Amino acid sequence: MIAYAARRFVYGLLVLLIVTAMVFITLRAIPGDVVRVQLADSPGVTEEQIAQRTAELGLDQPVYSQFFVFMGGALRGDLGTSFQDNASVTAEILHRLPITLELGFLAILLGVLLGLPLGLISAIRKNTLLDQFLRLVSVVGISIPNFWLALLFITYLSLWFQWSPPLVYVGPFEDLSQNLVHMTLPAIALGTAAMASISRMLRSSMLEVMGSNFIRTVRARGASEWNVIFKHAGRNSTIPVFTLLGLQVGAVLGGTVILESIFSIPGMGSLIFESVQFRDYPMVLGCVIFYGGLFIMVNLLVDVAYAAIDPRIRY
Amino acid sequence: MTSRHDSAPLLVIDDLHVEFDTGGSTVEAVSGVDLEIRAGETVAVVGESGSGKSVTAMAVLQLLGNGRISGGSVTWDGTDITHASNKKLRSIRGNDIAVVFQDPMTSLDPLYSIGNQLSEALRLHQRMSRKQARERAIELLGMVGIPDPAHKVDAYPHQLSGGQRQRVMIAGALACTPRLMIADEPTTALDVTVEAQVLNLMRDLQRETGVALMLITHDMGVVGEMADRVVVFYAGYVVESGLADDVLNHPQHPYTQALLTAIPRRDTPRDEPMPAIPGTVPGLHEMPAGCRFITRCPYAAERCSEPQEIVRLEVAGKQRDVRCWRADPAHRTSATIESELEVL
Repeated sequence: MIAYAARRFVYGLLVLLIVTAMVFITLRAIPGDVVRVQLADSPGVTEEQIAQRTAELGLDQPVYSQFFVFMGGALRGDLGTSFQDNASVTAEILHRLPITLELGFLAILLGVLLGLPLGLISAIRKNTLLDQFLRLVSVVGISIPNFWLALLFITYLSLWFQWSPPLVYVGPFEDLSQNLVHMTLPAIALGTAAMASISRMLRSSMLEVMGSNFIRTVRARGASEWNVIFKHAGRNSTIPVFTLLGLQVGAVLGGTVILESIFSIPGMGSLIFESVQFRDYPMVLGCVIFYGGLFIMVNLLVDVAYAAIDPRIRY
Repeated sequence: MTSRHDSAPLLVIDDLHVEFDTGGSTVEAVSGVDLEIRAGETVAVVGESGSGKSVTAMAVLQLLGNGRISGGSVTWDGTDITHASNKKLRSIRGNDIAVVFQDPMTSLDPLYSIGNQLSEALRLHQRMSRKQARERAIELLGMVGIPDPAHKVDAYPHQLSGGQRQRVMIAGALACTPRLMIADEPTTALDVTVEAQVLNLMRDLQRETGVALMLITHDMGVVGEMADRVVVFYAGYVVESGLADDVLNHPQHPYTQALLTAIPRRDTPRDEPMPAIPGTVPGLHEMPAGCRFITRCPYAAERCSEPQEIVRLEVAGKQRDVRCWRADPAHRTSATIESELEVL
């Protein structure tokens, strides 16, 4: 088990390395010169100054040597300095990471807490009007893009209730209620797709399990429906839901980029959004590494969780 | 054996009809089955796949999925349970009537240890504590011949062989010392040597516990070895029933006769094709109005198109029920004999 986790960890690092390299190259392939973007507004900039700034940022070097310089720092925990203000990328990200983690956690929590019971009800009341309705809700939930949902929230809440999301972020430890007021809407917008897909997945896997032979055995033993559903069918149908959950974490992390910008939440998502606009290569790269690392870690946890649920899976 | 037959039957199935919903329409899988099981006896229920034997057995416990009893009655120990509440049925399932299913590979929950699954019925019906139930589970595993039961009680189904899993299923069925055990083709999924072991085990346990056995099978050899009485199903109803040895030796219904000739024998020459009943069982939507065997019966005559009643007669001094008008001595007129001669 520990050997397995260690091996998976090493694979994860490898994946992260490949992702880093790809993003590193892609960033430099995007049209638009970082120095020109930064200095464009300043009047009377000479070619000399541009060349000087380019050399300062190390961008006059060939891409592979830039990469090795970056990796050398990264291995020591130094992801470089921002092109914008020379701030430490690592420090800036660590400062913003908890905010994104909170948002992502709330979104997933919402998806699980609503998705599981909805899927369960759908499966138990299969083919009833309630089930049809819940399935419709699921399809809609999966189909609606989270940013559009967020825009709907903002538009109609301000239209009907003259309420708009706060512009200034307050941390949960300063004022939890104020923080939740700010976080709830983006979490709902982000968590809706997770909720919908979890509910669909649980419904279908539950129905499949309910038709299996061992459920008939449990019933033939005189067990109550409660026992059938929660002890046997429930645990057996959770396995695919866990797989899905790992993937949904990826979707939620991706969603934070746009939603944090929409709701002016100063997390990693809005950081990467601003950094891309500014061609702040080190900052974008740092954010990608953290996003990638989170996703890989969550999926490692999911794989470990399989073994806890299913005795047939041993690593 | 006579004393058994004098006592009131444990289970009485009377004119049972079972319907299934098949997306819009309903089909009748069981049409008018009568069956009795007395305490301690073994009744073999034989017939081809789809003849309604398993459905009849599941109807007793109302484990029918999207099917339902649409007519007739099921009486357990003098109480009509056809319309019993779920609560009442649950108190019978696993406690008075237990089931051993066909496929031991998929009939146990893969996520729980066998001890956990054996304990479930004990904790439920006998209100045992976790510890007591575990003790009893170990005892049961020993009883069904699982080696090292104190250790195996914590094993998961995937760690056991097919034969061992079926032993676990039997242990689970016997956990609450039921009065009837329904074994639905318990050895079909097992290989032949293991089959013999499992059947021997069931017979031994039956002798020890006095449990009645409803043995669903399509293996005539198993019938001869295990059963006191046999009930032959065809296309959703009973065509013949009587004492096992008598039915095997003197089958009265043309279907039973055909079934018995279809048993491959050791002395059948290898180059000869395996004997088989020509034709197929009619589909549930295309049941003949009269005798359901009419499409395959070598003796089919005009009268066979009329609905067939059970004829009760005595063969070799023992009661025999046959669903064929020819079996009725009153109808054994010159006409029928002539038509039989024609076939010959």
